[in-house]
Amino acid sequence: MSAGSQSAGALRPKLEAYLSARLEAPGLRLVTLWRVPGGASRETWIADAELPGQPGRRRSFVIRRDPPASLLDSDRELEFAFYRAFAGSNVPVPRALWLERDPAHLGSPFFVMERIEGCEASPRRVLDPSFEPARPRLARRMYEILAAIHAFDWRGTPIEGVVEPPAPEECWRRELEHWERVIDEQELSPQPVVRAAIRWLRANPPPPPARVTVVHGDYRVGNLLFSPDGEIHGVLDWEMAHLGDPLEDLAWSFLENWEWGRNGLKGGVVAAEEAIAVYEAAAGTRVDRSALHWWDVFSSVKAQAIWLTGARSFQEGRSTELIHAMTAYWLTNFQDEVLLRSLGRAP
Amino acid sequence: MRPDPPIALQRIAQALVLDLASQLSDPFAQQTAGLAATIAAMLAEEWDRAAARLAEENAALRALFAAAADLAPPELAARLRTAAAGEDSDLRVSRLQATNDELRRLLIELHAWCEGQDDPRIAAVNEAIWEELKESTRRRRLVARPL
Repeated sequence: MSAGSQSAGALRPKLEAYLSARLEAPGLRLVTLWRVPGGASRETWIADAELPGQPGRRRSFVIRRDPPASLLDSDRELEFAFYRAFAGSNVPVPRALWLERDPAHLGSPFFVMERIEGCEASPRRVLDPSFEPARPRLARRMYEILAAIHAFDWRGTPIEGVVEPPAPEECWRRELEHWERVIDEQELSPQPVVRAAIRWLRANPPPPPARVTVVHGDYRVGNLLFSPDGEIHGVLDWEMAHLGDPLEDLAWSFLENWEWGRNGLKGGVVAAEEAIAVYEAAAGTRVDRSALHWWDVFSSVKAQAIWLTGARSFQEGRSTELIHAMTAYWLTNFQDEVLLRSLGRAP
Repeated sequence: MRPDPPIALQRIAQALVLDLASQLSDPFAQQTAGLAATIAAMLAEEWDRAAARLAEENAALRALFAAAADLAPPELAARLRTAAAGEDSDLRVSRLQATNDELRRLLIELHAWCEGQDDPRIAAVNEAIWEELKESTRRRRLVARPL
């Protein structure tokens, strides 16, 4: 539990009062309320509500609540805007309902979405041998949907109100400067491997993208809600979304971190070249492998910045979430190893 | 301390997984127990090696600085020589870590300077730095994995 966060018991009456008022359903009762494990940034809660006078009729909600500290310093309004923008598009997202900035309701700001039922977003599930028949479909849909995210016309949508589009030639620099600043502020100890990588990135910038697109920012199997047949019903966790170079998402989805020991299969589901072929066919573009390599190195720098942020939050007591300590102990060195491989300095 | 702390930490990890997590119905509580067990297993591994790991690395960095000092520009060379002449007289992990931080900060400076030079002798220092960075990840690698 985070310092200052609440247990389900403490949250329940507040959430019942909030939903009762929102749905104009006095006496609404929460049948279940539980926190989703695995989240390291915003707290995610699942709530099933029974409406008064309608026994057996339930509505299921997802509540994304700000914690006192997280791996990310993200903006709930930004995430909410991206969910709103993609509603009804060919990129499946849960329906975003309400955004609340007032901490009086639940102790900190939050937003509420409708829950997509019958699905899971579990990397462990895709590694289960019983999922093997569904794996090709999940892999194909993952990269078709990524192409759809990048084809999405964000002009005139809520996205315009929360992010500034960079010039194409500024995409790499904006992201690199942002994450370098995070490392400057958050590192507890000097990081010679990541600093060498940053110098390499500055010395070898990628060409500008043909088009500035929506970038999900954390596109990986763990953020996809999929059914047992491998179909994807929701793309989650838009808290790092921004406008930029679409190759950033492709490279992030290929990070070794998400292979879960299934050597060579990106996200545990697909070989890189197979994923690129699906993406290229869906997007109608060719992926520049050299630029993709730049974004691959960048992805490890960004990941390291996230692990270092969690480490400092834990060290300074702004968070007591054990996941921050675990990711720092486990992933900081792992990320350095990945970087050394990406830079051709280790086999 | 006897029983040895790594053994106690391993027992804590086992108790969290076998005795506690299996009794929990809430998924978040189960995850927390699993994380606590993983961290205990990682600490068990690190407890015994931490001082040796840091002392070994500090010595390696000092040797690298001593070799590079004659090639570096005067101001950097002076700091490299000072750092190379240091020693770990206080073996508490917190002190070794603080020294390691100072040395690794200087390593970053030296590495950045080397990258801008054409001299083959400096290129050799650059390669030695990369080898040291590779070695540093080997020293830090943990066998324990998330449960």
